[in-house]
Amino acid sequence: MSQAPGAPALQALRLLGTREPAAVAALAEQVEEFARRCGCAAPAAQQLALVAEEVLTNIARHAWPDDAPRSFAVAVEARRGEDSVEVTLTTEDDGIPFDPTAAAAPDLEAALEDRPIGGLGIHFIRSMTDSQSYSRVEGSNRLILRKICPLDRGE
Amino acid sequence: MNQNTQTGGPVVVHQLAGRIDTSTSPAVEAAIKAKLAEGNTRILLDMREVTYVSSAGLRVVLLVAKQAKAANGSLALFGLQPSVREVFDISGFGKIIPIAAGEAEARALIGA
Repeated sequence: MSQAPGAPALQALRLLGTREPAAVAALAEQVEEFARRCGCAAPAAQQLALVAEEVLTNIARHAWPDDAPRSFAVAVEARRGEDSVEVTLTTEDDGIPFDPTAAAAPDLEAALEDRPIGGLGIHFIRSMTDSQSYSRVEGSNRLILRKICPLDRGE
Repeated sequence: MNQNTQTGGPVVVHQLAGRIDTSTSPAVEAAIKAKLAEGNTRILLDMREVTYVSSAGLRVVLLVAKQAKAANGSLALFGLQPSVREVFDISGFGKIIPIAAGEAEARALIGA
């Protein structure tokens, strides 16, 4: 369906994130649809949605200590190669400095009773993207995640 | 007759559908917890129509599994689509939450 052989080599999507869970979920879905349109295979596109949901939820909940309405920039770029699509997800928020790439990973071997609720976000980001880079730029957190997605070959 | 020594309460099957994400997971959590509070401590989640589970959804599953266990009950899932199954495996939940292919097998997992 989204093989789109005539699709341009580089496509970009710029979005504005807000703090409501429904807005975060909708944005994650938009990232997934964009990745599909750019030729990514469905499982990889869904992983991009999962990663986007983690990153956006984290910003929405924790970047600002108050509950005031805020917005932040979300950009997705897809570069189409011979047999893969390189997708870059960039977020920028002016919240408190936070480097998610430095967060501790959960203990995946813990038993049910010992397994903490939550803490999975950074694990998802690390396991579902190929590179993660964080920088603090002029009072903003900038997170750049890159994923090499296999091309959708159809059925 | 077959002997059934399980002393847990009745079994409740929750049929879930669509995306279980940061937006929809609170309603799922509330629905399961409401049944749990009524004494339905043996819980099956029918995942056949679920297309997407984020960590917000996994959090609900873990939370409910813990509460069911604390009430001497248990929880099992069945019918996971491959992409959803992958999320459970990546998170390590596949090892701590009973997951079955079909409902009959899932019932057996919780002794129902």
